[in-house]
Amino acid sequence: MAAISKRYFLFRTAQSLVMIWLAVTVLFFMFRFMPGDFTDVMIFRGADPETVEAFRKEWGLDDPLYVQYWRYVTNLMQGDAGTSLQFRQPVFEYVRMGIFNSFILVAPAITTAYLLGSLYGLLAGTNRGSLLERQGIVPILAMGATPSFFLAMCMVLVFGTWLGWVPTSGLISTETRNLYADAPWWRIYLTVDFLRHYALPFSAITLRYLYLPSLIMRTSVVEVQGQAFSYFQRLTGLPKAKLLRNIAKHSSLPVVTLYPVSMTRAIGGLVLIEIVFNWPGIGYSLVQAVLGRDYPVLMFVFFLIAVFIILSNYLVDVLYGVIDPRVSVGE
Amino acid sequence: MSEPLLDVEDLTIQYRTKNGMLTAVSDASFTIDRGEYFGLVGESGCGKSTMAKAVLGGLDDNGEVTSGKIRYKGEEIQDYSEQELNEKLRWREVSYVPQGSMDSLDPLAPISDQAWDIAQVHTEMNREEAIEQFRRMFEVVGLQESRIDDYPHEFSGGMQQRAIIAISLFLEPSLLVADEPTTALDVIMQDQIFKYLDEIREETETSMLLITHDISVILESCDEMAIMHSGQVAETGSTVDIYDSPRHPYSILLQEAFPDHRRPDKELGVIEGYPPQTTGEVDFCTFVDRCPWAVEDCWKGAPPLEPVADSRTDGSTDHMAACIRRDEVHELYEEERSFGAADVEGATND
Amino acid sequence: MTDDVLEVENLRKHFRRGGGVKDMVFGRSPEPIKAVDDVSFALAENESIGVIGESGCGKSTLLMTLMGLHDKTGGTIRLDGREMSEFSRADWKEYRRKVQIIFQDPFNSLDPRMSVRSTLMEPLNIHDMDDKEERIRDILEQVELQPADQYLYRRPKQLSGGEKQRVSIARALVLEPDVLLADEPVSMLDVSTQASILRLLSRLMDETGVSMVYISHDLSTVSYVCDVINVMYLGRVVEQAPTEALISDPQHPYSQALMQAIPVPNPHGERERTEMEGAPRDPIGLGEGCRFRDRCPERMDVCDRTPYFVDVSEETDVEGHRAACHLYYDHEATDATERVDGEPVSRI
Repeated sequence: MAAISKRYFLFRTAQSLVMIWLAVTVLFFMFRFMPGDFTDVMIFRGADPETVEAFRKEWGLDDPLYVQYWRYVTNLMQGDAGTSLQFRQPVFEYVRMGIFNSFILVAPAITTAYLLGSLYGLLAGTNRGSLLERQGIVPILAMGATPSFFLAMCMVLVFGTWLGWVPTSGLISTETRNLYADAPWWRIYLTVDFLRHYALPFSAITLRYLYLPSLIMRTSVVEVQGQAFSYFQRLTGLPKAKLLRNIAKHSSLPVVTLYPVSMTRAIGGLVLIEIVFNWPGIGYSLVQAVLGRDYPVLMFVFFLIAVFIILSNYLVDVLYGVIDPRVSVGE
Repeated sequence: MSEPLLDVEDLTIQYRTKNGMLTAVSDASFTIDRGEYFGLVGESGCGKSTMAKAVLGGLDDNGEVTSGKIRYKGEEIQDYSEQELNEKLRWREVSYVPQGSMDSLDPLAPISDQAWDIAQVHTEMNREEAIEQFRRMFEVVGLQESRIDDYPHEFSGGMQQRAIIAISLFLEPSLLVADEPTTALDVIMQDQIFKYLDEIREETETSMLLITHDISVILESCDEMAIMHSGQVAETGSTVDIYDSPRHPYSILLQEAFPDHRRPDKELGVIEGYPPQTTGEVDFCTFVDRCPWAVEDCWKGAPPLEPVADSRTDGSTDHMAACIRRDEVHELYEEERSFGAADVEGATND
Repeated sequence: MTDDVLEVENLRKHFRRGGGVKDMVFGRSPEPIKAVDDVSFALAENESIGVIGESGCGKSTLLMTLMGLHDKTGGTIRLDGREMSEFSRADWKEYRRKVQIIFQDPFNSLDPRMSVRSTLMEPLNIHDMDDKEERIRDILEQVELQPADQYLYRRPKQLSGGEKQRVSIARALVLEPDVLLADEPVSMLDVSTQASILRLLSRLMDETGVSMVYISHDLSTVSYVCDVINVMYLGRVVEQAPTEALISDPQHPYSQALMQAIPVPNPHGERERTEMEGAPRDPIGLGEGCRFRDRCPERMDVCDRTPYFVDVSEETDVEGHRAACHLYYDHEATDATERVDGEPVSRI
C-alpha cells in the first residue's frame, strides 16, 4: 500500500466539497422552481386566504429566492435544517431516526454483499470450470434479476410464515419496546429481538445485490491471472496463498469502484423494502413528504443522500489511490 | 565429468489445441554443466521459450511434457507438482527472466516488497538481510539503490528489465533461465549486464540457459549452445565448434543470414520458407522443406542427434548434429560457395 | 543543398509535462522533456539516412515529427523547399502522399479486418490515383508477394510476419512517395526474414529512386541499407557520417562506445566488454552542455558548454563526417560556443 499522491488527495477533497455545495444549491432551486408548494395543500384543505398570507409571511415564502437560499444555507451550516411544513417539527428531529434505521440496513447489507461477492468471484475465477463457478452463479443471478420487493416478499413467505424462524415486521417487538421505554434511544438496537427483526430485510438486500460484485470480481480475477506478473510470481515459487492475495488485490480495483454505485441503487430501492418489512426507515417518511409537498424534509433527506453518495465515491477514490500507486491527477 | 546440472533427455512437449496436439518441442536433448553458460537459439516458434518454461514447470495450462525427462542435479523434475516446484526448485535453485520483463513486475507493490516476498518464501533471512542483498544486486545492474522502494511504473522499460534481472539473481540460484533478457535494452546496457554475468561465472558456479534469437550474443557469452528448428534440436556443441564447423544445414544457413555490422557489404543469405507447425508425433526432419540438401530419407524419420565426425582434435564428442548428412553437407556447401560470386566469410577451417 | 528532398534544420520537439497544483497557481510550467533538440540533416534524392541510438534517445519522436504526427516545437522541416509550418491543407495532403511510413510491428500495423487488396486500395482512393487495380498488382509483384492473385484477398491473420511487412512496404510505396520513413521495420522479424526484407528495401530503393530515413537501435541492419548514419543521444545528433566511416572509425566517444559494445558473432573474438557505466539520464532538465558528459571517458571542463557540429573529415579522411564533440574543436581559434562565419572551426 502506498501513500497516495498528495495532489490527488487534495484535489478529490476539494472536488467533493464543491459537489456537496452544488447538491444543496441544485436541490434548493429545483424544489423552489417546481410548481406548487405547501400553501396549495393548505388551500386544498380549506384554509382561507388570510391564513395562507400569514403563513407565507411567517415562513418568508415571499422573499426573493436568493435571500431564501442564503438563509437556508447558513442555517444548514449551523445545523438547522428547517422545519417540517407538515408537522411543525424541526426537520432534523423528524427524520433522525428514520435515517438511522435506513442507514443501518443499507450500508452493512451492501458491504456484506460486496465482501461475499468478491469472495465468490475470487474462488470462481481461480477455479475455472468448477461447480462453484458454473453453477454457483445461477442462484446469485436469479436473485439479482428479481425486483427487490418480490424477493423480499418471498423471503417473508418462506422464512417468516412457513418456517417461522424470524419475525417479519417492524424494528422490534412491542414487548421489547415497552421494556426499554425509558432507556436511551440506542438500547433497543442491542437486543436479540432487534437482530431477529433485522435478519430478513438485511438478507433481502444483501442477496439482491450479490450479483454485481460476484460477476465483476470473477471477470477481473480471470483477467489478472492472465497477466504477465501473475505468471512471473508463480514462477518465483510464491505459495498459493500469496498468489491469491496478490490476485485479489489487483482484481478488487474495479469492484471497489462499483461499491458506491450499488449503494446508490440500494438506497433508491429502499422504500419498497421498508414497506414490505414495515421497517421504520426514511422511505415511508419520504413518500409522505412528497405527497405533502413538505420540501424542507425532502430537501434535507435528498441532500443527505447526495452527501452520502458523494462521500462514498470520495472514500472509494481515495482507497483506490492507496491501493494503486499509478493513479494520479492531470498527467 | 561430474554430473550435469541440467539434463534434458528426449523431451517432447505438446499443447492440447482444438486442432490436435501441437508439438512445440520434439525429442530434444541437451545438457548444461555447473558453471556453464548455455545458449539456445532459433527462430520464433522453434520451441526455445517453451523449453525454458518447462524447466520451471511454467507451461501453460494446455501444455504438457508428453515424453522424455528433465533432470536437475540428478532428480527428475518434469512431473513435479506445484508444491514440489515451489519448495525445491523455483528461485532458490532455478530462477527465470521472462521475455518482455516490463509487465512482469507487480504494478501495485514497490520492487523491494516484491523481492522480500520471494526471499521470505525461500530463505531464512530477515527483511534487512534480504533487502541488503537485493540492494547490492540493484547496483550491479546499474540501478540506483536508493530507488528500490519505488514502484515499477516509476522506472523506464529498460530499467524494469534490469530490475527483473536483479530479482532473478539476488538469491544466488544455481541456474538462471533467461528468455531474451536484453532484447529491449540497447547494446551498451546489454554489454554491461553481460559483463556482470561474466564476473558471476568466474566467481560462482552459476549456470545460465540463455534463450535468444541473437546469435552474436550467444557466440560471445556462452560456452555451449544448441540450435533449434521447429521443435527439434538441430545441433549442439560448444560455441567454438558450432561457429568453426557447423554441420547441420540450418546452422550453416543461419550464420549466413546474420547481418554483421563490421561487414555491411556482406550478402545476406536467405532461408526459403518458414518453420512448419507440427502436430502429433514428428517423424521427419522439420527442416526438410527449407533445406537445399534434403533427400528422400529426410522424410523417413526424425534424424537422431549424433556426434559429428572429427569435430575436435581430442576426439571429445559433445558436438552433435541431427542430420543424416551431417558429415557431408559442409563440404557440399563449400563447393557451392566457391562457384558462387557471393563474398561471404568462411566458417570452416578443416 | 537545394536539391534535397527533405531538409531538416534545428528541429526541436519538446513535450510539456503536467504540473502540480502549485505550478498551476503560480503560472509556472515544469521543465519540458526535450525529446528532440536541435537536429539537422538533409536527405537527397535516392539517399538513405539511418538514425541509431538507445531507446529514449528521441529517434521515434523524430520520426513522428517528420510524419507530422507531432507538431514541432521549433526549427524547420522542408519538403522540396516548402516549409512545413506554411502548409495549407492541400500541401498537407501532398505531403502525406510523398512521405510514407513503415512501422515496426507487423502484427499491429495492418487492419485485421481488411484484406490485402483493401489495405492497398485505401491510400489510392484517398489520393485519387488512377489505374488502381493495376498499381496494386504491380506493387505486390515488386514486394515479391507472388502470384498477386493469391495474396489479394488474404487477411493479416493469414500472413506471416515477413509477408505482413511486405504488405506494409507495398502500402507505403503504392503512392510513389519521395520519402520513406522506416521505424525499425525488421526488428520484430526473425533473422532469416530480416535478411529478405532488408534486401527488398535495398532493391526497391534502387528501382524506385525513393529516399529513406531508417530508424533503429540495431546497427547491423541500419548499416545494411543506409548510406549515411546519424547517431542520436538524448535528443541530439552526436555524430553524422557515411556508414563505412562510422563503423570503422567513429569519432564521438559515444559512437565509439556503441560500436565497441556491439556483440560480434565470433566466439574466438577478443572484444572487450564496455567500460561504460550507468545509463542515459532522464531527458528532463538537461540544460546546456554536452548531454553525454556525465558518462564520457574523455570529459573535459569545456564540455559544460553545448558542443556544435564540427567537421572531422580530415581526421577520418572521409567526406561529410561530422561530430558534435569538444575534442575536435580548435579551442584557441574560437570560443567553443561561438561560430565563425556560421560554422565552428575544427581542429587542425
